[in-house]
Amino acid sequence: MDARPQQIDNVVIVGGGTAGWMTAAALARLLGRTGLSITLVESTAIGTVGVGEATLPQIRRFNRLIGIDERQMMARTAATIKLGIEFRDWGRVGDRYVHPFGTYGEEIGPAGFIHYWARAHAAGKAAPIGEYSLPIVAAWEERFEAPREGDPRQSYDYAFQFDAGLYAAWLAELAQAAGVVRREGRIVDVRRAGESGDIAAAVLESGEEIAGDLFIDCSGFRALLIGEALDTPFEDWSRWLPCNRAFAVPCANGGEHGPYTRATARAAGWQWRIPLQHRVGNGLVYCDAYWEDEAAREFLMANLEGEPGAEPRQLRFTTGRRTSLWRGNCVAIGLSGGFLEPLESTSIDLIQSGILNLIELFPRTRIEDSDRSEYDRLMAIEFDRIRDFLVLHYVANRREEDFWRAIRTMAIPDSLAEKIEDFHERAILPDYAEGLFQPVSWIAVLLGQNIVPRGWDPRAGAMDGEELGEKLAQIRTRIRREAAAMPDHREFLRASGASFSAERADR
Amino acid sequence: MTGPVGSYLLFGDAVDVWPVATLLAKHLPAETAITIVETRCRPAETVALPLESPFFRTLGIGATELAGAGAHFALGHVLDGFCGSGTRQIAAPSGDLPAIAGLPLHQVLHCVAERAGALDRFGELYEGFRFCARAAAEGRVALPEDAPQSPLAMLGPLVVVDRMALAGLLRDRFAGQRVESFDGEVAQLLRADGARVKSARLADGRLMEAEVFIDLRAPGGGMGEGEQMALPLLEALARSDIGIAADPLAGAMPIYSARAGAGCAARPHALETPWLANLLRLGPASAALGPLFSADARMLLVQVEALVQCLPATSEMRVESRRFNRLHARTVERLYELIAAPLHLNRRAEEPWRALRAVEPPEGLALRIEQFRSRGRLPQFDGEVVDRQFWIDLLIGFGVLPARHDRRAGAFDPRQLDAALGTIRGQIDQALAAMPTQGQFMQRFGNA
Repeated sequence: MDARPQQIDNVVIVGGGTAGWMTAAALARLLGRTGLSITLVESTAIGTVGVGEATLPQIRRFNRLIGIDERQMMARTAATIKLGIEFRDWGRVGDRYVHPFGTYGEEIGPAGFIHYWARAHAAGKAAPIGEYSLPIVAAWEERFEAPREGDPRQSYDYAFQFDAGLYAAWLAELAQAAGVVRREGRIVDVRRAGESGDIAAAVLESGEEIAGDLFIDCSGFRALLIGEALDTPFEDWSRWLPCNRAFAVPCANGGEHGPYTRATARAAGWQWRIPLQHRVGNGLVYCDAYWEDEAAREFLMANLEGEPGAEPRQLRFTTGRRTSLWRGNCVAIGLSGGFLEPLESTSIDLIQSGILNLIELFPRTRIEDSDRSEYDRLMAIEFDRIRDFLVLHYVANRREEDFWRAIRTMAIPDSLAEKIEDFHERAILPDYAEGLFQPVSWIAVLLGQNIVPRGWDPRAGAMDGEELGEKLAQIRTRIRREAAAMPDHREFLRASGASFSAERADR
Repeated sequence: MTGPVGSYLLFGDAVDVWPVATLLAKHLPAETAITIVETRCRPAETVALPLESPFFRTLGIGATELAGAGAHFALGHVLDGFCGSGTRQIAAPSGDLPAIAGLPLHQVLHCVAERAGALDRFGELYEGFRFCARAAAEGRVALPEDAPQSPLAMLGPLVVVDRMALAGLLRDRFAGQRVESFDGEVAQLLRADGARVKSARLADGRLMEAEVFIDLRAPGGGMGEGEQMALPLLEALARSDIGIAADPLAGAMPIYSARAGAGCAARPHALETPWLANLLRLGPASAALGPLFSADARMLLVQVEALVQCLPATSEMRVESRRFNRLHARTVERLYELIAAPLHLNRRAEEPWRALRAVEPPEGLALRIEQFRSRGRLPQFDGEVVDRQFWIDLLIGFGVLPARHDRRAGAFDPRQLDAALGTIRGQIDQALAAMPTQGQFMQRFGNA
């Protein structure tokens, strides 16, 4: 037997779309000069899900890593700016709040701002929390300006809403220019290595085999390699996140151009609105136990703000994740590894996390068990923490429909129950360094879902009540002024050279 | 919902009580009563604490105040004899070494060493980049703020201080006016219902009431009441006839010596839930981890910071205690991983030390070792008590050498990497030569 370590030089990515091309572009950029040969196999006959038209600020780090110019990317993908996500009718019909990509207030004493706000709120002397957040106020005024180096204003960040198909297509160009080989073909079989059980090759309909040392499954919900070939168990989380269907359809913009995504709660699910430069992406996510497919479809089509741009497309999914995302010589990135529904735009971020963790653990000569187990550990932390955050949106509701009644009485993860109680009793927030959603995100959704602290850090009690009122008023005034001084969102797109034209996208 | 907490009673040895009382005095509203019952029964103990700990920062205590209390300063710890008789490792707190092309320096160095066919000299080559350890070994001391744009920014100075002197500084400068203190000893805690403590009876019969009781007494019999966290390595060490002798004042740095017959003063233990109802056990009442890296004294400072984050809003304090207990468990885990490292990685030939190596290390330490040995990668966890570079240096120092390096390092031109390493090494050598000796450093406080 040949005991020499096998060089990992041939990577095969199965599936194009957002996950596949993001992976290909990143590997080519960051590892291409290490002798890595990257082949991406996709079939034009198989559509892509095109998940995640809305992103989170972490996408900016990814773009920087692979050398993408932001303005160019925006122009190529019809991107708009995203300062947060607006939630309508989630706690109760008529509620409205934004989860911002920024913070609230400022440091006004030894305790965190939320504790001062909670104290003032209990005394009826605080405005809604959103009024202390610059990105929220700017978003609602449809304004945007990029944060500057050494910016004295309240810190904030931004993400993008883009056409995921165009983003993938552009990354495909970049990746291929960097040496990635695209192979057209439908995969009909997978050849396994006899002894190890590893994947030896993907077999195309034509009979041709694409061999590789490491396979990355970006085949979407089908999970061709990690699921079908390797039979990796799927951990079903629908007991916590029961929505399992979606219809998606684009339409013309009805006149709102605010730099934010909207998620509106509906009778048995929720509807998204993602404004791009040239159209609006819409979708209805629902639970089939409470909403018939046809009725859901009709509801979505009846609640569009403009002329539909296509027939609605249905997606079926089960929320959850594979128990292992790296098995043998196969890594699952994107929907093949798991899906937590589109709420909070986590799909692209999970793809990004998968890619960055893989690059950090990328094998040189052979894949070690420790590579696989560490990858799984890191991704499990990410999935678990996102899951709790998403479930929070559902359980803390006071809506009357059957779906919402059922969901608020279901058992929730202990880790989430504790977080809710901690905040309600004493404004205590999750304390972890790793994980997508940090304390500000939790504040936004907990308060937005009407979980208001009834206790706070006693240090916040040391400030004189009038002084606290004045400080809060000053912060609000300053934020209003700073938001008003920002340019209009669409004007920003024009002035910064980020305007989209279909011709440029077609190049 | 019950009303706000109006009174705290702290009791235990003066060296443990005053750090807690001081931070409470700084943070609690003026109308909250803080009372302490202090005993002075512990022998003098000198410890090495991070000068830049949040505890000192929150109180605004710097090197000058500490020097005034008789402290001196060091840049590292000496681990003596853990890799065999006569061996010495310097474990120096350090910020990250400069990254090269976005990659940690040791990854690049490993790549360069491999290309040069000199992997067997990796540890030796790396040693030259250990700025903080080299400074410590040469008996030099400086503060990061002395030259924040230079390698000095990486320094993590330790304050080596007698705990009683520190307690005196805290009492006299920060808490004395705000805190009512009594000499005495709590003999009994009287409970109102269930776990809730109503009052403390002192040995002289006095009865003291409060809403929150903070117990800092070392438990009689070695362990506090309640579920204990597993500390198998420390327990094995305590059962053996080997031990660690700490001598913080031996030279320019605190020395921790692996030797026979140097058993721990206190039986190792750590409570899982030190805060129950209105009784919070801190310091020696909550855990004893031993002398290595002054773990017990460090734990107390971290606990006080955690307590400030969890100050009870009301006398119910259920969620506050739950959060504190989680933070406590996390701190013990991180400290245990740290002090377990030299024990687990020891290379001594004697049977008791070999037996220690066979004891299962804590999960976090095992993962760090596995990942570092495999690919020079260091996983990090919530609530870290030392910097990443400290871990990297410690592992390399104990012979945990990466088998592989980050593949990205292979993407760069070897000459450029060589040049980058040369530049960094030059900057380190230059900064080192310009650093004051410990004696020169102390002159700035007028008591060299």
